[in-house]
Amino acid sequence: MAQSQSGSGGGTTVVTGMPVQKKPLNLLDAVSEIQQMCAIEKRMTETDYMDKNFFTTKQTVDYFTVGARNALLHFFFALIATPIAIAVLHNLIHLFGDKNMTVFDEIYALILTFSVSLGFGIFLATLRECYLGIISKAMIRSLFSGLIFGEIIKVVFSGIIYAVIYLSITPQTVADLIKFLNAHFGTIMFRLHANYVAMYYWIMKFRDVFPLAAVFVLLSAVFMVGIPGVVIFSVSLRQRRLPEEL
Amino acid sequence: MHILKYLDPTYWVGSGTYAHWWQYAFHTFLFGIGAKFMSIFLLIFGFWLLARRENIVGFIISILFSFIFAYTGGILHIIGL
Repeated sequence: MAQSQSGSGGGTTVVTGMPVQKKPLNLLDAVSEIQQMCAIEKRMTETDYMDKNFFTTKQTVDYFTVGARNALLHFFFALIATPIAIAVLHNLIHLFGDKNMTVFDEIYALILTFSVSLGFGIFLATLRECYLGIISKAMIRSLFSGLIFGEIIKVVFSGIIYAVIYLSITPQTVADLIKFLNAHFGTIMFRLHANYVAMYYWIMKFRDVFPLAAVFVLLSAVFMVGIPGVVIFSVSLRQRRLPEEL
Repeated sequence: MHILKYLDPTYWVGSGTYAHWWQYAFHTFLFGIGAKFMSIFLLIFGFWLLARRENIVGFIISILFSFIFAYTGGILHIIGL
């Protein structure tokens, strides 16, 4: 929307038009821009539609970047949270500090790990109402391309990082670590009544967590992309069938 | 008071023997039923914020605190506090 002052009369002329497309800084910006565009396109008819070039190549890249960045932010969360959840399943970390673990605790640990993926998936699935019109569809596709790209990067890198950690935890390296702790933090370890033998076995058991953690990171990526993907795909299928039914 | 005094076994947070009120408070919120209640409440509250209010920042903060309540007790046990 633009405003201009007319010369002699001094009145204000308001010129309404297309909203200026801003660069989305985060996922929330991108979703709100898509919702705005969807609201505009809903009011358009089959003959009076927006040209596909309205959504420029630069904006395609911007939306792709937002999707990829969002997936990569989740990467740091998944990298730390997933091994901890698997450690709960292996009885190495006691959820809620309770040594008597129940099946509920194990299931809750998994739900907590997948909560961010599920949350983002459900949030992005709200875009199903906006999957109409040329520009809205292009925006959603760009955002999802970035998200899928980021998720692939996330799965590959977390797999590599877990593999490196798994391979580097050997009896020799753990023994060296314990020697280092005893040499440099001996006073604190004494105060904590640290049991070096128990520590050694705990770290060696924790090693087995990483292969399963890599599989769970893959699952979380599937949730994050799969939930909104399936919902939006079903909407697009319904849209294709509608003209045939009419 | 020196920080190492709190690392003394008689001051252990999870030991059940307490010298200060804040140790009771920590035990209530970080171990057992208190931590379970807070963590589950925050998880449900986070999803409610996301689904009903579309508040993604509130959702992330709630999940983060849910994590803190779920795992802090276990981590304190591991490091011997």
